Amino acid sequence: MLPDFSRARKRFRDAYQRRLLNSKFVASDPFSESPRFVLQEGDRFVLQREDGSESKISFREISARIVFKKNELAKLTQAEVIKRVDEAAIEMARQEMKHSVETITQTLENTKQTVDARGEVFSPKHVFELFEKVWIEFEDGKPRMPTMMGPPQLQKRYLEVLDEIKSTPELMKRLNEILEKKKRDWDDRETDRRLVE
Amino acid sequence: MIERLIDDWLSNANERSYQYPFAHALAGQGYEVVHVTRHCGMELGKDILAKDRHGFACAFQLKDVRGKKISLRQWTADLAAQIVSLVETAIVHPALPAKGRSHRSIVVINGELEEEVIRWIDDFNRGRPSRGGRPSLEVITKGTMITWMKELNTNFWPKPISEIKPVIELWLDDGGGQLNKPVLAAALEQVLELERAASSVTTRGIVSAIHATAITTSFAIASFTQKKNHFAEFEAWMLAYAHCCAFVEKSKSPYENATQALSVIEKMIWNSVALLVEEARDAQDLCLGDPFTDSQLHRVRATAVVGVAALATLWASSASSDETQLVEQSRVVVERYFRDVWMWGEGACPQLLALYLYQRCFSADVTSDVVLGQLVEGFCRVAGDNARLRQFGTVYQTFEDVFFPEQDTNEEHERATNTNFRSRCVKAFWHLLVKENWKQRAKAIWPDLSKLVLEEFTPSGGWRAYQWRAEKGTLRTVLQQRRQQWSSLSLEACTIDSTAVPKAFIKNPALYLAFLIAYPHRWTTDGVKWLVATASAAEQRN
Repeated sequence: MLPDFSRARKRFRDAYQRRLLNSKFVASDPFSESPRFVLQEGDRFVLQREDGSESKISFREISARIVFKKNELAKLTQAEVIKRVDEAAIEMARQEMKHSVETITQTLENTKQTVDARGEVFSPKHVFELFEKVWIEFEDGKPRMPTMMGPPQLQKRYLEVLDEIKSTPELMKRLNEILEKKKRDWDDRETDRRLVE
Repeated sequence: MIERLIDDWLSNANERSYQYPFAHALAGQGYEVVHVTRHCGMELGKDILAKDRHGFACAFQLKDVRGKKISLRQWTADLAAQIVSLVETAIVHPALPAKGRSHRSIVVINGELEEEVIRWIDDFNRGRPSRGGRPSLEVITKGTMITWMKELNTNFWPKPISEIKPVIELWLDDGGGQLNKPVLAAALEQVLELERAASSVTTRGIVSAIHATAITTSFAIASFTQKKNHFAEFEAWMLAYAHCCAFVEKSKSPYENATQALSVIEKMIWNSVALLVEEARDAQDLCLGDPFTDSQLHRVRATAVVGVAALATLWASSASSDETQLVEQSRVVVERYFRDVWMWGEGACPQLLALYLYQRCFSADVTSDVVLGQLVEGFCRVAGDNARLRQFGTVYQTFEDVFFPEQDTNEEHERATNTNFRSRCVKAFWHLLVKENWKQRAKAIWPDLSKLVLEEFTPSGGWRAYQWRAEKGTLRTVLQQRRQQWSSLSLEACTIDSTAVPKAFIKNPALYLAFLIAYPHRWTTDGVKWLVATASAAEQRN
């Protein structure tokens, strides 16, 4: 065989592996904040919720191909390799997010946790309806506001609506009332962590 | 190539290294092995005691001649005096026939005999009556041992080079560090062909498989044995035992067919435990003389040693032989180091469980229950602190995996970026606390404990419980109810599903605890509760 430099090769491969994982992590935002773990063994996964209901979760493969042609290997630059690794990471993140959004959408539709704007222009009343349905966690008394995901045109409209709410005292008052109720709900939930007779 | 490896290994092994595989080779020839020496302070000059096919007692003395031919000068200088003792001194063991007290005496050497030595033996035997139809003194040489081992290994030694790679990898290990359990498990799976094992194997096939597995294990861990790395030996023999159980159960063979063969491996497990305890007792401290690392690693070492010493007391109290000395030695070790025990991760929980069982047995106060509460609170503190969480191992991780991870792996990346704590062990400790009726303490702990996500893994098919990694099985994640009723919780805590305990350990709770120490990821709530209940019942009977 031709001379090999296995230590150096390992270092390079490890660095690209690290790049792939980090790029996927960044590209998966905000889902990268979700709880994750590595399944060390087994082929089935069951989630048992607080209310005792169970879901059997099926596994889905998420993968991306990085293709290199034999005749380009000698001339490949590091920048080009990184570019292809990043593209693969983004593709994997895209598949993961698509699967996550599909799963969440299906679950929310099944439990009727949705807001139907019925063709109207997105407005403060839709924001209030969203906040009333969503669960908000609190930390040190302050709300951990949910992350909103949507298509670019909706994102732009959402920010405009938020500005409108902040600049209108009556709308701001309504929003604060909703958040105060959310805090009370959260407090009730936390004080319900009890061992009773 | 394989035969050359065995030949080479046997030639370079000392008595400690080759006594276990020889014991298995003996068992493969129909002997019932009843004792294998620990080579500890109490040397009795008889390394192995066994019964032959006719029930006649046999005493074996092993010598290390490093593959050479032993000369007459060496024979008379090293062995002659011991031979008289071997032949003339009666052997006393509860498992050996007492009537007549006559026994066969056999010297075993990992080499060959010079002509003059053969003559010496002949002269020796001529002047003495035969025993069991055999000469007074018999000799087994390297050639015979290799033949016996090859007979056992015919079907079970991995043949393609790719399959012997894990065995060689271990054999080449320095032997001074932690045993690479995944590699040994891979070797054992290949030797036993677990994923391809036929659903029915003959009794002879089962026994051959077990002995071959033991010989393979002996070979693989030779460097650990050489280094007297007793903790690694303990883990290795536990893995070998477990994989043999997997083979027996997958083959749907009754355990009765395999009991004798498995008992030889079990002796090796307890011998390793006893030797580690003895070493820890005799050592001034748990340092290895490395100023750069001893203080950093002292608590990890203490956790491992205390866990094994506490395990030893549990086993010794139910052992068929008198192990009073081992109990005393173990207690010295536990009492000296238990304050240094550290829960560095869930992988340490079996050691902590062993300490809890020890304190229940030997502590006159409520120390054990206080420790339970502290353990549960410890889990809650870790879960609520991201920085601590990243330095707290799962049941799948060793201490080195947690603090000195391989970089750039999926596991390492998940660990560095994840803030999700899932516990497999806390529920068992929690149920033990509730069962002891510490209601007020439990009420104070519950708000934080209720936030923890719990998990439990159940392998599919009983035999997979013994595998290092079960390809098929269900991981259950549980989000706990926030409000719980004390009465329901108490009932749940007192209810035990004993089917969670692998069949091989139902009659052997001490061995089950040993299994959990080597396989922390096989921890189950019901299994642990069963272990504590069984140990408590035994304690009350005593």
